[in-house]
Formats: sequence, C-alpha cells, structure tokens
Amino acid sequence: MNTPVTLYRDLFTELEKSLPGYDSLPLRGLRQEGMQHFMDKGFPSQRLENWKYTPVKAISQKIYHINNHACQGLDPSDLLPYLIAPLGVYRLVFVNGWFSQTLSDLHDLPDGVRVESMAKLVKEAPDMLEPYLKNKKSGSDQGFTHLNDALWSDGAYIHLSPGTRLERPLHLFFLTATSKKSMMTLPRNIVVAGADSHAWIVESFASLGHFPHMTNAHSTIVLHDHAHVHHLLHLGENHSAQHVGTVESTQKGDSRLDSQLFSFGGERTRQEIHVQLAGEQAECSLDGLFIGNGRQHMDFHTSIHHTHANTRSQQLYKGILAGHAHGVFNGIITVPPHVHHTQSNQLSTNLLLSDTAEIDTKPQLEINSDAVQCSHGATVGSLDPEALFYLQSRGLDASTARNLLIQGFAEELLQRITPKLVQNWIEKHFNKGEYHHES
Amino acid sequence: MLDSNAVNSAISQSYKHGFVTAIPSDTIPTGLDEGVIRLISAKKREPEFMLAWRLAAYRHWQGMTEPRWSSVRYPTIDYQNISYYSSPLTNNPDSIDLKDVDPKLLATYEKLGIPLSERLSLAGVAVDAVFDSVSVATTHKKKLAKLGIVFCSMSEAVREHSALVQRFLGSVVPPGDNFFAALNASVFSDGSFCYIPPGVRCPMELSTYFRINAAGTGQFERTLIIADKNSYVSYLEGCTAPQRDRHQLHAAVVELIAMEGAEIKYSTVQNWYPGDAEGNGGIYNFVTKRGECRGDRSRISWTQVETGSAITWKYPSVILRGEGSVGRFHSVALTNNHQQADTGTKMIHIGHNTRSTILSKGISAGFGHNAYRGLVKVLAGAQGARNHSQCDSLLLGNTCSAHTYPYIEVKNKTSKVEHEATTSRISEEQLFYCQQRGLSREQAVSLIVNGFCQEVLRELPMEFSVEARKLLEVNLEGSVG
Repeated sequence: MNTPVTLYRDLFTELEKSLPGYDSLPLRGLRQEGMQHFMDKGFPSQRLENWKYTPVKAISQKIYHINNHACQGLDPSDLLPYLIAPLGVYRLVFVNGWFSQTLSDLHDLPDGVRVESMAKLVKEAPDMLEPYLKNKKSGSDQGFTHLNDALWSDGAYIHLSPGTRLERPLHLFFLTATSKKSMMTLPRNIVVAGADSHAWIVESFASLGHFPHMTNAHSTIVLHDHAHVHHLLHLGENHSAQHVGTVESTQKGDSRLDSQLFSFGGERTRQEIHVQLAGEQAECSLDGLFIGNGRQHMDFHTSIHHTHANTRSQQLYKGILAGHAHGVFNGIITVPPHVHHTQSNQLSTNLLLSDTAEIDTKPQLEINSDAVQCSHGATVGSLDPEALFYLQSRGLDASTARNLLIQGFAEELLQRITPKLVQNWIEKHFNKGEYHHES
Repeated sequence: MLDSNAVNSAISQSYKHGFVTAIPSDTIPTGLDEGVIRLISAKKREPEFMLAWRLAAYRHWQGMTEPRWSSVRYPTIDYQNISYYSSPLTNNPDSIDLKDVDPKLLATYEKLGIPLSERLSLAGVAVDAVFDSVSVATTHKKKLAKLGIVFCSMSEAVREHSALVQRFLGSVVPPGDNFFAALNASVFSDGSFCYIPPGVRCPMELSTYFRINAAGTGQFERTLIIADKNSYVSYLEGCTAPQRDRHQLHAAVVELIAMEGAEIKYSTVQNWYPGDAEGNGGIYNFVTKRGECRGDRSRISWTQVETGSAITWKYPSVILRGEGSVGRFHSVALTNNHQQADTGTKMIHIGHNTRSTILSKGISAGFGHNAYRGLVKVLAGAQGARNHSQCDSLLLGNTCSAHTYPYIEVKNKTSKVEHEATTSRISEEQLFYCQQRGLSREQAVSLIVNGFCQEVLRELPMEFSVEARKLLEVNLEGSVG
C-alpha cells in the first residue's frame, strides 16, 4: 500500500547515499534509526493529547518531494526584501534546504566563532556532530522529528568558544523557491554556546512564489555555563506553506536563553520549543507573538523542564486571530521532585478579532516539589468597545483606532527585541500584518 | 480557635467512619453479565423500560475500553470480581415509615452523625440515606409532598414516577457517555430522585448520605434532580465507607436539570475511606456529574470538598444552554498519604450571555497527587459568554505533587475568558508570623489551610461547612512539619 509513510521510506532509500554524512557510519546509523522510528510510529495522530488541536492529516497526507541540491540562479538582490539589513549582520542563506555560499556573508567573524554549513561539516568532522544529532526522544508524537532525523539536508552549525561574543546578529535564512512541484525542506541546526559566550541568532523562514511547500525544521541549542543566547524565530512563509519545527535547548548553570517567536505566515504552522534548565541558576524566557488570518492555523507548544534548583523561567505568548484563523498554545512547566526554589510563570493572552476565529489554549503545570513559585494565566477576549469608543471620540477613525489597540496589545513583545536592527525588521513585518484588512 | 489538644486528638483519630455495621445482607455473587442486570432489575421490581435501558447500556459498555488518559494510576480493576448488588436483609424496600427500619441501621447513621428520625434530624434538612445498594430511609417526605416536591429513592421514583424518570433519566449523562457512566447505567442500584415543581422554593436542604458497608461490593448510585421553572433547591451529598484493605469501586452518576429561571445548588463533602498511610485499601471514586442549564436564566452550582477516597476522578460539569444561564464550580481537593485526585470541571457555553466561575483549591501533602483538569469551551453561538477560572495549589512537603491542566477553547470573539493559577507552599514567613503570635506549628498550618480554602468553604451550607473544616484538619494528619 502506498501510504505517505512508505513513500517517504522509498524516498529515503533512493536519497540516502546522497545525503550528508553517508560516509560516516555512526551518522548513517542515526539516519537509519530515525527512519526506522518513523516507519514504526508514522505521523502523529490527532488522538494524541499533544496533537489534539493540530490538523495533522492536512499536513502529512500530501506527498512532497525532496531536493538534494541547492537551487542555483538566485541573485543577491532577490533576497533584499527578506533581509534584516544589507550590512551589519552575519548571514547564512539556505535555498531549498541547501547552503548557498554566494548568498551568504560571514565577513569578519570574530576568532573563536565557527559558523559552517552542516552538510560541509559532516564531511570534515562527523564525530563532532554525532552527539548533537542523536535524538533522545522517541514516541508516537515524534513522527515529524524522526523524519527530520532521517532526511535532514543541511543547516547551520554554530560554535562559540568560551568567552567569545558575537557582536552582530547572525541571521540564518531559509528560503524556499516554490514551484508546481511541492517540495519539503528539512533544515537541521546546531548551536553550541561555550561558557561565557554571547550571541544573537535569528532564524527566519520565507518562500519565493506562492506554491505549496513544506518545512520540517529542527534546531538544537546547547548553552554552557554563563552563556547567553538570544534566539529569534521568524516564521513568514507563504499562505500555502506547511511548517513544522522544533527547537530543543539545554542550559547549564547560570546560562540564559531569550527565545522570541514571531509567526505571521504559513497556512499551517506548528512550532515546538523545549527547554531543559539543567544547571543551577539557569534562566529562560520564551516569548511569542502570532497573527493569524484567513484559514491560517498556528500552533505553539512549549515545555520547560526545571531539572535543577534555583532555575527560573518565564513565558508570554500572545495571539491575534482574525478571519477563520485557528490558534493553539500549549505550554507545560515541569518541576521534578526535590528540585527546590524554582520560579516559573507563564501567560497566554489572546485577541479574537472575528466571529469565526478560534483559540485553544492550555497552559499546564506539573509540579512535584513544594519549594516552588509557579503561576500561570490565560485570557481570551476581543478589543474593548469602550477603548475603541474613546479613541474614536478623540477623532480617530474606526480602523485607525482598531489598529492602535492591536499595536498596543503586541507592543510589549515587540519592545523586548534587541538589537534595534532586528526590532525594526520585525516591526516592519508586523505592520504589514493582514489583520489590518479585516473590517 | 482550636487548641493544640483538639488538633492532636483530631489528628490521632484518623478515619472515624471506618467501622463496619454487622448486619446480614443480601449480597449477590460477584460477576457481571446480562443475568445480573436482570436480577437487579427484578429485585427492584422495575418496569420493563428500565430493564431495556439497562441492557442497552450494558451492551454499549461491553464495547468500551477503560479510559487511561488521566494522571491517576491504579491497578486494573477486575469487573467480574465485584458484587453489583448488596442490600441489608432486614430492610423492607417498601418501608416508608421509619418504625420499620432496622434499629441497627438507624444506629449506624446516628453514629455517622446523620440522625434519620425526624425528631432528631437537623431542622431543615431532609435526608435520603443510601446503605450499600439501597435507600434505607427518606425523611421529611410528607412535608415536602405538600409542596408538590418529589424526594425519594431512585428505585421508588422508577416505580412511582416513571413518566418523569423516563423523560429525564440519561438526558444529561447519556448511558453511553463514558466507560464508568455506561457501567453505572447498566447496574445502578439506587440513589436519590428529586423533582421541584414550577415556582417552588424548596424550604429545606435536601440531602443524600451514601454509605458503603458490605465488603467486595461496588456502589453505583444514580441521582437525578430536576428543578422546574423558577424553582430552587439546595442539595447536599455526603459519603463514608468502612476501613478495608481492598479497594472498592464507587461509580456514581449525578444529573441535574435546571429549567427556565431555576436554580440548583449541589454540595458534596466526600469522605470515602482514603486507604491507610501506605496506600492500601480505600475507595476509587470515579463519578460522572453533570448539570444542564436547560432554560434561560437558570443556575447550577457545584461545591465540593474532596477529602476522602484513594482516588478521586471526577469533573462536575455544567452545560450552559439557556440564555443568561450561570454555572459555578467551587472545589477543595485534599490529597494526603497516597491519595490521588484528578478533578476539575467542564463549562460548556452554548447560549448567549452565559457566565461561569471556576474556583479550585488543591492541597497536596504526603505522597498525595493532585491534578486540576478543566475545560472551558465557548461555542461560536455563545455571544457575550464570560468565564473566570482560578485554580490554586498548595504543596505541603516535598514528596507530593500538584498538576494543572486547563483547557480553554474559544470560538466566539465577544466572549471573555480568563484563567489564572498559582502553585506554592506555605512560606516560612507565614508560619513564622503565626508562631510568633503564639500559635503552634500545627495550628498555624491549619489556619493557613483554612484561609486558603475559605472562599470555597463559605459556599457550603452552614452544617456542611463546619464538617468540611473538621475533615480538612483530620486529613492533614502527619503532614505538618
């Protein structure tokens, strides 16, 4: 029977030899293991608690082909609309899942910072990558991750030696040049931040053209003692794109992760962010802003695991939903027994702008230790008619008043973006947001 | 304020309802098949429709599998190793007069603090006492009948008010609703039935008292309360069981129906035997409770204090169908030793301008596991729906756990939904402050726990509120430190 699962297996058999890392036995083994898990478990089903609100059939039933070479013939000027800034930013560009040397810009990287294409690096130093590529999770809800384990093509490897600082933001840009032949890209990124290092990393996804395509991305971030990483994720693919992504982060003592997510594009988007606070005084903050319109589906899952004492986490996710959009937020905080003095709070606030939009939010706590301070909250509401009236009574027209309130709702998250360069870039995307056209 | 001795004596007395009444009973052999269901139905001399209803539910149940999604853990239940019917032999099913009730039974309830004789019973509380599978006595019936209120055991209602039963039974919790509801529908033995006619305000609290006495039996009672237009009723439910080292299953169903302008207040103080400190024995309390605000401006409120049971697994819910209807849920769940609780509520907003409030307080001590699981669902047509939920958890000791799983699903932009939750322990500063004012550590903990639950406890009728406070103290045994 030709199910999507068996078709991907056939694809894997066909492509295996051309995928990066085939020459290294352990890496080849990892890919085969990923495929085996995927064969066993298949795609997750909506019956699983974690996938309850995700229209997973609509994502997985379509068959995508996988490109095993980079798309040629793009000119640097084609990229301009998508770039944070032409100058002042390190840039790694991946087209259709593969690294493009000519479009990237890594001039003046400081000593001690290594930024490479994964596909290139597996040939030179496969042993170095192996521990980061090994996926410890396996289960029936991990189908997309296993598919990435088996078929990942390329991505960025970033290594910051102890004490190094990346003063300019590093932009990892994933562009899919769409065509009638729907394609799946499977990027895989690894970020290792050594002790006392500091970096701004921006991951962004976009499409050229309006044909359907799919992205199945996976990033691993490891923060050593006292490291500080800003990780900003911008999802801005076209409105027929499917996006499934996972970020796995592990933090050692005194490290700090600032994760920010801005999701404006795609037809169906599901992003998972998992953080392990595995060292005393480790701290993370997860922010998210998503705007859905039309028939967009936006789905965000976060988990924070406080495995060590004195760790802190905070989360703020805001959703703005118009048209027939469907938003999902599902966050879980876990504190195992005997882990003391953790602090965590979690807030999901949502704005519904139309009668047909829907939000399902589920902020969860699993607390097994008593010396904790934990709180979470969720709100769903619409624009306050009194606030709208107030603004209109001051002479603003209805749509300006409306936009002003929406802007105010999002402002808190936009303000937190650093550096200024990146903030301006995200604000530009936000202001283009389609909620404006809603009456 | 209780003095220290009072707390200590309360602590040492542990489960005071753990005695067994030595009374001959008619207990049918363990096992479940169609024959057993026919036997139960025959013993209760039920009309034909009831047997057909039970059998349909049983056939449905056979095709169902036991749910496993909750956070509670228990060994597999052998449904063939439970006796589905047990009745004290001396009880005459037709006895309405208290004179005919076995004095031993009356003494049992006396000992539990629920006097059944009218003279002694608390002024203003009518009691339906259920002993194992049957209702032994219902008090104040005549007084209530004058107002047209029907308050009797379910078995009696099935025979005497079959039209009402046929119309409403299973209309809120259908027989095939879930695994335990289907099991209940096929084997339910007794329970309370209550009908308040239009415009009547029930002058006294109605109450059911459940007691499991026989060993190796399960209790499957079914309660149905109908408040007709513009009526009002406040209903109390209490429960206890003897101390036994084997787990016993209690799978009840409670259905509430509120018509236009009616109000139902349902309060539970659940004190089933929780098992010993090592987690042996105790009741599995797997209950389906659901109310429907069928008419406009109707109100249903659930108030529960869950201190007993080895495992509590229930979600008293409200379907807010009528325009402007109101649903409320107030809960205190205490888990100590090896008790587990997975409880919460569902508020389904269907009608315009429906409102709901959820207030849940979870307290975990010892190895207790306490989970709040709640759903607030606003359907697309529920214009102007409003919900506020608050769930707080208090942890006493570092081996217990508190989990919170709120589900919020909103499909209407004019609705407003808020949820907030906190988890923390009693801080050293709070304890220090109380102790510095002269309270012992136990008193301080008791005071703080009481304050934590205050908002819920004050929703209970007075007599229950006092009992609930005492229960909280008793059940916190050994968790202070």
